Amino acid sequence: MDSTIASASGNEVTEMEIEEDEHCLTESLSSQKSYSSLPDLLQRVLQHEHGKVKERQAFLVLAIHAVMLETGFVLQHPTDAVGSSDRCGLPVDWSGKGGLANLTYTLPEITTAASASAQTSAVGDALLRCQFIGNFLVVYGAVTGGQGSEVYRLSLPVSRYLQKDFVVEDKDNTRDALKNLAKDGEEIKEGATPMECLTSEGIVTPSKVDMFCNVFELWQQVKDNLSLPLLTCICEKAGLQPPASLLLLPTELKIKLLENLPAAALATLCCVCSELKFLASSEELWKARFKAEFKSDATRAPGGRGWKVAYARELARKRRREEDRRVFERQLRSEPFLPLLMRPPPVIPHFPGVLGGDYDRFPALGNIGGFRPRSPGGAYWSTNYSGANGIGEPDELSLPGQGVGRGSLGRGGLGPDSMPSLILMGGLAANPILDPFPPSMFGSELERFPPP
Amino acid sequence: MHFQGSPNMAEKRVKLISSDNDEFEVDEAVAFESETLRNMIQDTGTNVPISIPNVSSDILAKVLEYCSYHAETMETHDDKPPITDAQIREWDADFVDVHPATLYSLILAANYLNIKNLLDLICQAVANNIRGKTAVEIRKILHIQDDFTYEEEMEIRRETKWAFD
Repeated sequence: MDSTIASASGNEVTEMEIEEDEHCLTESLSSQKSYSSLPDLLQRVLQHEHGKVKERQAFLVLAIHAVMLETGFVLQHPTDAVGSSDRCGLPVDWSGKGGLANLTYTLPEITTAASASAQTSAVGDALLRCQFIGNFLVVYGAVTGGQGSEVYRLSLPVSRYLQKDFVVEDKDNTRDALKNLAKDGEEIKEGATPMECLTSEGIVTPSKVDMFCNVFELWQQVKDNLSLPLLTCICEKAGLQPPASLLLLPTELKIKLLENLPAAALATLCCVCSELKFLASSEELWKARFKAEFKSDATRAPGGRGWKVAYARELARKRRREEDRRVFERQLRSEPFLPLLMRPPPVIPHFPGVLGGDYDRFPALGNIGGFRPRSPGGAYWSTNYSGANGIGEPDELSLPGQGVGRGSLGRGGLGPDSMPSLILMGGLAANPILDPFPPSMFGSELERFPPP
Repeated sequence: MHFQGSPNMAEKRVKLISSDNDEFEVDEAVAFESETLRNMIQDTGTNVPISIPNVSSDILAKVLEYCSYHAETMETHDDKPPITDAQIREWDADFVDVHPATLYSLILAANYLNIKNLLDLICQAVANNIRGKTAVEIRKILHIQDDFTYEEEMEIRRETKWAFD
């Protein structure tokens, strides 16, 4: 009995794995096709509302709520329980009967102004009424209070913005999905057996990616037709300055503005606020930047993680190449007449009073045929000790033969294998075994036979 | 308000009415800088005043200033030397040297009136305002609230680190 259960569950595991692999494949393919991520605020709202949403259509209301938040509205809580709850949350009973939802928003500026003047302001709130009619979500928006308010109406086809085969999982799975969405699937629910994790991921990940489609268009529709007109209207009534002019422009004009910006400025805009991050991460923008910067005619982003990531990676590569070339050119310029191999190694860390390198590692070779200038302290200065001679002044007395040896081995001068050579020169130079030509031997010869 | 084109060309005048009911009279050539106005004039003729309901008079005056200058540069005069490209660029640079709020209204007007060169010019000007500034400075000049959580901010910084080296 036990064995059959075990084998059955074993089958299940392999099946799940296959499913997951397939899913990864389709995910990577779809990301090639249109790489789009959910806007930050939508992710946050989804995370907050996890498990509470029962109907498929209601996710569209969540998206509209996220756009309203992004525009700068805050939800007005009927119970006055403001402050404690974070601003992403919807009221508990927001999803009314018959697919009808009423949401009341206000601006933080209006709330603070009203509380400061200690009177109920004449200006009302922005009221949203969302209603599902057939296959459409119809949203009416109006600003209450004042006089002669215009009503903005937006009708969204549900099937255009929500994936057809996306169904709301039961509560637990949805929660896991959103958990995975939030943590990018890296962290696993505490105390869960591996089997449970596999199951939850296998079932749920499709909804993570495919819950929404045409997000960008949805954003543009809601923003241009609903939230921005409402914001302008409520600001006008309250006598407030519209908060941000750039963000009030229609989306097509914002994109036109962004097209005029270089890549670095786009990246900066990504750090400004979540709406600009969403707009400035547009694949089309980065594709154009990539092609212009790297003279590439690739039709899909190399690496499969979108053009923006590809751009950053390619730029890093290019910078590294340029840096290498600059170092090389600087070397050539500073010592134009020296053969390449005779140049002292360029990168030597400075340890005052400490010598390293091949001269110390191969002391017997180091001095063959070459007299070395003596420092006042009586020690030989190796050319590897750049602090004494300076990089630009190689040891003139070295012969080419010695230079070859140093040039080819020089870069490893202070590596772990040469650690024994890190001995203070004072102790080393006086050692007749390590240094076969102590300084005193050649004191007079140097004067009698000066180097050419 | 009158925007004079060339005096030696006897041509049709067009009446434009802004959102706050100011009346502007311009040469047909000036109005033709705008694709939208050109279509309207071709439909209705120059006898009927054209109302532009979503452009206020101060912005419309500015737009017409641009249109009349650029209509003028198109014309050739025998007595005056032609206006060089450098002069036009200088004039354009002066033209967009206005408060950012005006720039945004101008973008909307240029978009509605479909004046492609003006739209490009202003977009470039706004982009120049943004270019080379840090995220904090941009938030300040555009009056944008920072709406990232700490984790999001860290994540974005990591992603866009390459741009700030």
